[in-house]
Amino acid sequence: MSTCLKHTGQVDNLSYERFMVDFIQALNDPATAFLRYALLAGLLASVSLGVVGSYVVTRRITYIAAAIAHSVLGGIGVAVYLNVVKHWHWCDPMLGATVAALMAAVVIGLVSLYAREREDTVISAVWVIGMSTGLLFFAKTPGYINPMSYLFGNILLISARDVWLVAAMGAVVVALGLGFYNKLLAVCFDEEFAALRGVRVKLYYLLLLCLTAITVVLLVRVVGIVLVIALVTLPAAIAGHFARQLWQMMIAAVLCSMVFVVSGLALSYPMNLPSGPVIVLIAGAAYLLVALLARLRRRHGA
Amino acid sequence: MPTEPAITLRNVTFSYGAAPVLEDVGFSVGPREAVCLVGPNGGGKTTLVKLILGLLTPRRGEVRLFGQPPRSSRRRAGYMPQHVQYDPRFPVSVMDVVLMGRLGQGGLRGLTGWYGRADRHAALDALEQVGMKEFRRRPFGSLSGGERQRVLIARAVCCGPDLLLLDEPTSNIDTLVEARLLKLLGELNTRMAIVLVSHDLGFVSGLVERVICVNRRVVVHPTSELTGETIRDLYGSEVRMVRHDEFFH
Repeated sequence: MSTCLKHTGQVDNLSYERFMVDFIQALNDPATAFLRYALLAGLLASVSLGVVGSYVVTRRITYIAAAIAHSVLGGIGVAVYLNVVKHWHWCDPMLGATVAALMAAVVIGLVSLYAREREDTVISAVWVIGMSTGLLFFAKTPGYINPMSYLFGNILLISARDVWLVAAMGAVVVALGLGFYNKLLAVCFDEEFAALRGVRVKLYYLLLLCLTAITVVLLVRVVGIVLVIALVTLPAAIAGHFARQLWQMMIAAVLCSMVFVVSGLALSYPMNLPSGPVIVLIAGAAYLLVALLARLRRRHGA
Repeated sequence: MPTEPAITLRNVTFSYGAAPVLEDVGFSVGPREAVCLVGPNGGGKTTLVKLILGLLTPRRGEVRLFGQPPRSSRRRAGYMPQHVQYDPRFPVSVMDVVLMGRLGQGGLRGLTGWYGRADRHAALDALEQVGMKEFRRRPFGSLSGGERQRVLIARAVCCGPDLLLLDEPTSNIDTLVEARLLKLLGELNTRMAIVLVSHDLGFVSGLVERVICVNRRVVVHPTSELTGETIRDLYGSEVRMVRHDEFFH
């Protein structure tokens, strides 16, 4: 690993082919197993991202997804604290992240459904309470913990266990997201009519928020909690420009997300850049390009 | 075949804020009856429809749908809303929308919401009846207002209801399609009760036996009693009456 990082770090004028060769070599190198894990985790998570992201974008709850993502830091903070200070060794940061995300999803969901609070106020509150909790617990944990690796991802921290976790949780999300496709589609499209047909609208809305929560957790290691929201929304938003039906949007979003993860890792690793921001910038550039092209096409069509 | 009244309202009062939207409303609709709700904008027609469906709860009084509280019997109603709050870029096809009328059935299929062959057949049949079958693969958002309305009527019909509730079904529809719709409603009326909300008394007079005038309070008129004067009283201003009997077949 060190040789690879060293020579790409010091030489800027190497050709891109050389970078790709490095990347592919690194994928096979046992010393850089984390890269293989990151790629696998990213590809597996892309399936959940495409399915859930399509619901999130069409139901217009990307802000809720963002709040859930940020509140995850609280769960990570508590988990790290319990692990180090209380010696609860089973208390993994990913467990804390999952619990916090689900709690945030249920709180936002119940408050927006039942309480007469303004929804956006509740979303902001959950967002900042989660982050503050996380930072306080980090501060009270002995030893230096860099919140940056959780906020923006760090592929060096990915283990084989994380990949299995992503695969298992992703399978649950995709099974539920596709199993209740027709009901979730009806709830996203016309909630009132779905309720009249006997669909338990509030339950499915909460289900959707919980699926969003788990999906957000899947990518915390790779892109971090601040950037994960880009991969929930941008692939689905791009897919929305081409899809005529929701399932088409899902397939296109899965493929887009996979392309962004692979190209982001392939670009960032040989250039010794943090992979989260590179993946997100590629997704952002692709989204802007597609939106621009769609606008041009509309103008020409009209 | 149901024999109890489709709808019964007794002394129903409803308000969103302080001022009552509906006051002491009572009427009933028979199992195979067709009625029309008329009245000025803001008079409470859509509110009344939502009370009947249990989407709103009355402050006072009682609403019964097929003799039961609306929330437990509303699956027997097919509803076409006046407005669907929808995103024009929502990726959903005409067929997807109509199939939503087949949700809410019992058994394992009802639990997951998966559609079977019978559901697709019912949806295509409903689309055919409103003359929109060839549009089934089109994105719903690409349709004109009138076409969307017809798809939403198909969705309501596709529920296989005992009561059809259509809120302003003709507001965007041209006279030719209107005639076709009238014929369809006439056929459906042999199997189910129909409640229409409409400004277009010419359209409904061939179909409905009674007109329910809604303007905070409710007055029921047999269609034959309707004159320019009663309508003027109802709307509170002069109303242009247009006869278009020539479209009735």
